[in-house]
Amino acid sequence: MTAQGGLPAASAGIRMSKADELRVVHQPLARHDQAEKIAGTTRYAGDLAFASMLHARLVRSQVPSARIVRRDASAAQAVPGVVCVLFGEDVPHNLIWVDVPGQTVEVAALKASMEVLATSRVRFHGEPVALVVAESEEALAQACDLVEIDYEELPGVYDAVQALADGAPAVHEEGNLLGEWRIDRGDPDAAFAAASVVVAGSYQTQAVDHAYLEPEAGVGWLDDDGVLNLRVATQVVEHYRDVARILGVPESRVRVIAPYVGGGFGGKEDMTVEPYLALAVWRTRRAVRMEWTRQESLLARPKRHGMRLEYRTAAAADGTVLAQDIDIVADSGAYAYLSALVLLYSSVHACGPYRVDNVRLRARCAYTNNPPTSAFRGFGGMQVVFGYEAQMDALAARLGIHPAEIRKRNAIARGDRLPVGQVIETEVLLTRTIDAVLERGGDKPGPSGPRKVTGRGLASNIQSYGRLVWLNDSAAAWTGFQLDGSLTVRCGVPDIGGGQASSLAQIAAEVLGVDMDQIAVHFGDSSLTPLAGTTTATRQLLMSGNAVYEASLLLRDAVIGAVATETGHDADGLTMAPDPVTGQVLVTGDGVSVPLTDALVICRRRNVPIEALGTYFGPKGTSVVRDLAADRVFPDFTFGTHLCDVEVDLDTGQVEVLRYIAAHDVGRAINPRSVAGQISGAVVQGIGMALLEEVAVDNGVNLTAGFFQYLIPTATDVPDVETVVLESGEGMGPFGARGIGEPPIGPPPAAVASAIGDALGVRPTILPITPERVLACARQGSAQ
Amino acid sequence: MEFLRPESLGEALAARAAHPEAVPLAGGTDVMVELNFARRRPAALLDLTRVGELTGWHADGGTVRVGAGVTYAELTGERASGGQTALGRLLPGLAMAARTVGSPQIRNRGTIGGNLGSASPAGDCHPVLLASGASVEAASVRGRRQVPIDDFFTGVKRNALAPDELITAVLVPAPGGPEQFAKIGTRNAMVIAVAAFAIVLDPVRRRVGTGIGSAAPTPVRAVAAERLLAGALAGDGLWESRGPLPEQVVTEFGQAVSAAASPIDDVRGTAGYRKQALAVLASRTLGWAWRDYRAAGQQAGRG
Ligand SMILES: Cc1cc2nc3c(=O)[nH]c(=O)nc-3n(C[C@H](O)[C@H](O)[C@H](O)COP(=O)(O)OP(=O)(O)OC[C@H]3O[C@@H](n4cnc5c(N)ncnc54)[C@H](O)[C@@H]3O)c2cc1C
Repeated sequence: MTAQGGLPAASAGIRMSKADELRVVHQPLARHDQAEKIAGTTRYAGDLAFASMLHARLVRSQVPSARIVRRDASAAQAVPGVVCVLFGEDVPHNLIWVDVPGQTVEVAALKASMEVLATSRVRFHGEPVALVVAESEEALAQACDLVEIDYEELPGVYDAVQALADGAPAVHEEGNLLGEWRIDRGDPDAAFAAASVVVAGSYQTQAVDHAYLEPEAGVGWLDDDGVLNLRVATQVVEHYRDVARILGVPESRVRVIAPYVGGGFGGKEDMTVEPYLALAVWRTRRAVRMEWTRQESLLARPKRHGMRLEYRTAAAADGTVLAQDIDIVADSGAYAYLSALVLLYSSVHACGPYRVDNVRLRARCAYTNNPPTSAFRGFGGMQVVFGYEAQMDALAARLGIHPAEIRKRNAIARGDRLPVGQVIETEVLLTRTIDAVLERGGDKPGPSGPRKVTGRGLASNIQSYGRLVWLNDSAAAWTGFQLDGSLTVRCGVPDIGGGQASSLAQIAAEVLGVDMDQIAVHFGDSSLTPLAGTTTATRQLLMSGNAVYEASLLLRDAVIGAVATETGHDADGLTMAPDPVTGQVLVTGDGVSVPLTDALVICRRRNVPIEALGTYFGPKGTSVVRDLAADRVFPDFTFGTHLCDVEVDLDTGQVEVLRYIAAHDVGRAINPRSVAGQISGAVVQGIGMALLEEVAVDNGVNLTAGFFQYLIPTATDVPDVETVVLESGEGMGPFGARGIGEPPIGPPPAAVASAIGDALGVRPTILPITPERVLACARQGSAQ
Repeated sequence: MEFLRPESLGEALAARAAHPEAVPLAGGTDVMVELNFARRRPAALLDLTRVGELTGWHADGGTVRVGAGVTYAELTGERASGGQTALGRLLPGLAMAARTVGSPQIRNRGTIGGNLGSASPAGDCHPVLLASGASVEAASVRGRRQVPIDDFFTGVKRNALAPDELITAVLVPAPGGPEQFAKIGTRNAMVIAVAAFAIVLDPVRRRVGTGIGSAAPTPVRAVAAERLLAGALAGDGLWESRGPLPEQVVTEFGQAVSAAASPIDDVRGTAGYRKQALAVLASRTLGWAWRDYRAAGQQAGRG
């Protein structure tokens, strides 16, 4: 049985349950994987060893734009312990198709590809050119230095706007414009003409790195039956299909296992080590390990898109937003990856969580010879917050309306239509999130000394959860009782640290009455667990959560049905729940009371399976090509508001974030601790983007390929994040949950900029907001 | 790679003379980074961690002798141990600098001798050592000598050690007055300074000492600023009166310090910002030092 587009088919009974009726869901449980992670004993992808395992490493381009004129591996091959050195010609099908990964069958706007190993042309600093396999890390290091690659440097282009100009060096033959989206709604020209005020702003966001704890790593081996196994750090076990295509073998011959992942944030959505490990195993027929160094990870793995955002916003005297005119240019770097989709997200979210009937938008992404860019938490929907929230603050200032008030006046509500055409179907608590942070915030703090000023900033956002509806997304999960009444859950979801597996256990426990410690969740195995798609796009709670919910309902109904038949009762009168006193799971009602273990025996006697497969299909919709106009683009959205207090040093330009409060409507918190963790983590990552982080590139050369150059916040740079969790109970996930993985990354850069703007009278518009940029604002502010 | 492990200073100096290509290794917080990134592939390492003579410190008359192997954690120490006054109390300026270094792990491993060995313009001990007029004790099989700190830094990451010499200790005049150190980094911890500054006021010798970090090819003193401030303090009788510092003196001091720097643009900040930051650091640390000096006078007056 299957469920589709919202409510699982089986029974909607528990779905909308009130928070106080929930036993396991909604409890702030310690995650079952936490003790091992704290103790450092979790076996991540790189922590697996085989006897006589080989090691593999990439030789990467030293230059950002060049023709390869000569490759010579003879010196490297002569190093004792080197097993092979591979070039592009050694790859059966030397092409990675960067299609939409996961459980989707449509590819929509994307048909992007790149060579596995570059053969004749390199387009960015760090592009893989050769793969070396050796018996030891030492031999590997030596051999990599000896692979000779001669380049003839070619002119490059290192800025997205310049890349789109006439005569710019072409990164790819088909030109530098990789993708374009437009929105045309209403009559913007008339609205601008009629407006009381028009504010214009230009904003710039930078490329940033995911900087997860666990670098890209994995171990591959061949099974006795010839199946290629890859145990890798990934957000997408379905990449087994891409690997099969590269090797030219049936998809069924490749298996990807995702153990616990030490952070993904989108950086492990595209393939990283997979094709190279696969090649090395395929060639040598031996087990191989590959781990990228932090430097490789920072150098060459795709980053977040830097964007240039141009906004013109028209409003009436009462603050009502009348029109938006928006132009976005994003830097895709050297290869397409998921850029076109990232820009689509930017376009859909560009007007923020506000009603606006007249919109003209153009969003383009351009190839450059910079490091490639692709998926990153927020996926294009977060950069635009820096633009639209600055516009809201500017409008508020011009009209003399409080920033909170202007947001509330324009806040989207149920029944409103987004500029793309999608109608919001669920309750929106945006206004309540604004009130919540203001109430929690109290008075703005005063400065701690002379030459210091303080400021308070506010930023709200809208962020989709679940995939684009025309991708025909799906997720499957399996639940099965053991004879002792304990429960096994199988689901292909990769657990990337957000507590994905733990949340699934909570959902199954809630429906089936089983204790958490009676449940084992097997996850992230493309051959042994039902495929559940990517842990990206804030889709897993929605997708695999609903799949587990569905499978659990089916299983519960089957067991109850068997007991009803056996005892001659009506199934509708029976429930399955733990005895309040003993905790024993019972099928009860109507004077019947059958322990679960007995019920399972009854099932077996009556040929009733004690396992169930649930598949959840996401909401559907028709695809768009360039012009964005659709009744439905995403399943649903999550809304929130952040408040930030800063103190600015007027002489040094240093900014201290004094206080940070983040409120989101999460629909229903399946595990409040995990929710708080997601919000805190996203805020810290967002503050890093606001104040510190930048992939600095000089003519294509990445200058920040180490944690001494690429600065992420330390514990001393951020305050404790105060989270406020609101629960409308209206999300499309199980029990009314909304996704919360990505949404809280959106507001921080805007909230911090808003607070600095409040302190100085001039708002920074370029990220990251370095002390020098702050001083420039301070000077402008006092000059006025 | 050969790994030499002398057990005493004598052995270490002999090994140093016999293997000039061997790289001395103390806490390894600089050396291991270089090895890891293959910036350096030395034929041999000379491990100094077993050489007892390099550890510990003692105050001797007007001088505190700090062993080359003393760590940042020891420099920040507030509690007395083994009958010795805590180092952090003896040398508060160095303690302030040490507190800003890296992270607890780095402070546990990294040593003052290693800081001087690396001689990075961003080394955090250097501004304080320059400001307090310290000297570096170097030893070789040929004997011992003292190198005034002003002569120690000879170029970008180069120092005055001869190929057969090791740093054995740093000799720091015991402070007779307030000391301050401050640095600006792009974040609050684990970062190379954008600019750093130390000031030492010596009311007995009527001396002003300064040291600038991260804003020139080597750590440097701001000699003109020292003269300017010393002149103002003496001229207005401020050493005796402990009166408030004229705002103009503070500003001019900051400008003079800034003028002594010759910074470059890099990923962490532009030259212009470094100069501005230095002026601010200099004015602020002077303000704090003078505040301490005045407070000490009041206490003395009361006591
Ligand atoms: C994460 C991190 C953060 C850091 N943060 C800071 C910071 O905030 N401020 C700062 O100043 N530094 C910082 N450093 C740099 C480093 O920790 C310091 O320079 C430290 O003082 C080096 O001491 P060490 O004992 O580890 O030296 P080592 O790495 O062992 O040696 C450094 C150099 O000195 C030489 N050497 C060591 N001992 C002697 C000796 N007795 N005689 C002659 N030569 C010798 C070595 O050959 C080598 O060239 C940081 C380093 C890291 C890795």
